Amino acid sequence: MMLEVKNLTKYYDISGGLMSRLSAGLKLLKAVDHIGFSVPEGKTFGLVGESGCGKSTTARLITRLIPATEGEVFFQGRDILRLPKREMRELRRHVQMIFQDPYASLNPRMRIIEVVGRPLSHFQGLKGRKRRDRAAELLDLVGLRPEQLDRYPHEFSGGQRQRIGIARALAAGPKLIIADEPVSSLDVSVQAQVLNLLKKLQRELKLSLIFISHDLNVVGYLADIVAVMYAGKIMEIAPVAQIFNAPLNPYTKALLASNPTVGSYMETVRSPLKGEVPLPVNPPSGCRLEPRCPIRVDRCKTIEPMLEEKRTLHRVACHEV
Amino acid sequence: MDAPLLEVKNLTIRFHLQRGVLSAVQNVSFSLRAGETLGIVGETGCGKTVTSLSILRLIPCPPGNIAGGEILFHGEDLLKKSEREIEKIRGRKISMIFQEPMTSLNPSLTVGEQISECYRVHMGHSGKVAREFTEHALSLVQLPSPQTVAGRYPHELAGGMRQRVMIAMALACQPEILIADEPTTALDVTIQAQILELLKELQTKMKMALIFISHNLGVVARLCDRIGVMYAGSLVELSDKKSLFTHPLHPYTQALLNAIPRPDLRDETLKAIPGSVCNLFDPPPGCKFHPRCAKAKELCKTEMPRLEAKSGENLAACYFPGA
Ligand SMILES: Nc1ncnc2c1ncn2[C@@H]1O[C@H](COP(=O)(O)OP(=O)(O)OP(=O)(O)O)[C@@H](O)[C@H]1O
Ligand SMILES: [Mg+2]
Repeated sequence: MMLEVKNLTKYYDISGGLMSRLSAGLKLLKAVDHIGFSVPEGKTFGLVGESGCGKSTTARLITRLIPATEGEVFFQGRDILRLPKREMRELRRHVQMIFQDPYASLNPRMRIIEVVGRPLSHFQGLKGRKRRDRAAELLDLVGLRPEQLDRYPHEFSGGQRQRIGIARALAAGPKLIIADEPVSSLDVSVQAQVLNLLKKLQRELKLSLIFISHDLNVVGYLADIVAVMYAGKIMEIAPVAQIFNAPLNPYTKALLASNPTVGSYMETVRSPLKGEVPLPVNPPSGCRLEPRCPIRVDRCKTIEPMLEEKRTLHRVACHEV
Repeated sequence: MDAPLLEVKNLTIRFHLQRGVLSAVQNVSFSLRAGETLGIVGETGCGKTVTSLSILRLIPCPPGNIAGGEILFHGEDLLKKSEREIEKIRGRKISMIFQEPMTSLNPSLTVGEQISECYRVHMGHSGKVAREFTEHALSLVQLPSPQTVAGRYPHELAGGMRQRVMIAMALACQPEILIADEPTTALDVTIQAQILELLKELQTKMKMALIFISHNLGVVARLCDRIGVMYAGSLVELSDKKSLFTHPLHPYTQALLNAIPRPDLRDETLKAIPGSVCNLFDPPPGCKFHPRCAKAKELCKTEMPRLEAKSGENLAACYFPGA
């Protein structure tokens, strides 16, 4: 396994000041709550779910951009969350991120040669001519022209900036890339170009990829394994074909039924889940989906379902499956 | 066949900006029949919002300028009406909802106050009657407890509920046409499904026509009878839903359909559209899609094709339509 996540947890205390805590009690936002999954070498692991379900928090926990409340993240056998600072640097080289907003994630005052060149000197020790040549190679790899190295980010379109973000991540020489909604701000025609690029690079460089998106179609297209998150919990993990052809968890089923695809153009609209998407603030002790679940029974209110293997390689958290 | 309720003819809209003249909408024509749902799709900047705003005469002029065309509503040209006449139609006969409800709701008034104001201003109801109507409107959009919601401020509501409030407001005066501009784009997919279902239900119940604008072909597919596809300010195809998805006429429609990732076709490389959208300050001569079109011939580079019937009632602006 490239990455193994165990009991990963992030709670935020949102009680406010002492007074409101005394009067209203402790308010915990359980953004990510004891989740576990593994990312195999050279595969794409898709993480899908609606806003606030904990996808991005998971990415930030794994890369240690924020500290975890609990849990372990093993990268090639070593627990990332407990690595000393010195060794973190080495780790940053192997685990790189690509972000959603191609506008915000590039420094407007840095030329592309610096954007891509920095990780080259920092992680690979390249300088001068060698650094420039390698940066040019990387631009070529992501479908940009080497002569664009001396340009500034504002001279590029959204799709091109996302390519630059990919080149920057590749410059470090990573084994694992975590991409958080990398194509969500792009139009379909440009999105297709970037998805093709990611798929090609992942295969050719044998990268492991954690691909986070709210868009089922995109995840279904790119991922080998898919985990579905809801309110801080993983509801179902399975190989992509099983998620799409034989989903077991009622939430996954609802997501798929709500998902507008071009293939289902003759179907009428229906909404299988009522109510709003909740934030897990002091969530009930049972299943997170219980208040909205179409197949709930009594024990769902009180007993939390564990993620269990119900079919080969297919794990589901639901009492009724 | 019924005479169309709304007929947009050769609509051309430009923006006069410092950088130059931007042609946002060029020669767009379509019609809307009573009770029908028309979808308009296209990628960012193609002119969907500008087209729909112009129907309500909401384009800021300057810098905007409706350089040509007619918008006939019950046969009368909305572009020739005075601002006072338009105010009698806007929000009353033709209503609009937007992607981000917060921008069109007043943050300092409760939901109830805002909706009852619609009834007082447009319909001249008294305060008491308006309040009753408001409660009815809120229950119509299936808000769980209309009375409680009426007392809330917009920011106290979740995204899906806010969009329901917007719909209640837009439908307050039982308009003949509702224009919905990306009303579900900011919502989660399960909430989006709820809102689409609600819109469809209300539309049937109130027998109104709906213009539904979206960049998402899948969303439009589930809701609409006919779909118009826009590219760089032009309407390039207007077909019934089934034909559009099974036999798209315009190469851009075909390309768009091929570029959408599909979980059932994961082993195929997506057919991305090469290049990027043309500069609207300086669009190419001829068909604006020709630089990206695999089928483009000499004619496409010089003569702009008109939107014409190519297969039954399905229209396309292309010299070489179809497969
Ligand atoms: N008030 C304005 N001033 C100047 N240019 C404008 C104005 N409104 C729109 N435009 C321009 O007109 C063109 C069409 O814009 P429009 O908003 O209709 O696109 P759209 O299809 O709705 O895109 P999106 O999917 O991003 O909402 C764009 O190039 C846009 O920048
Ligand atoms: Mg728009």
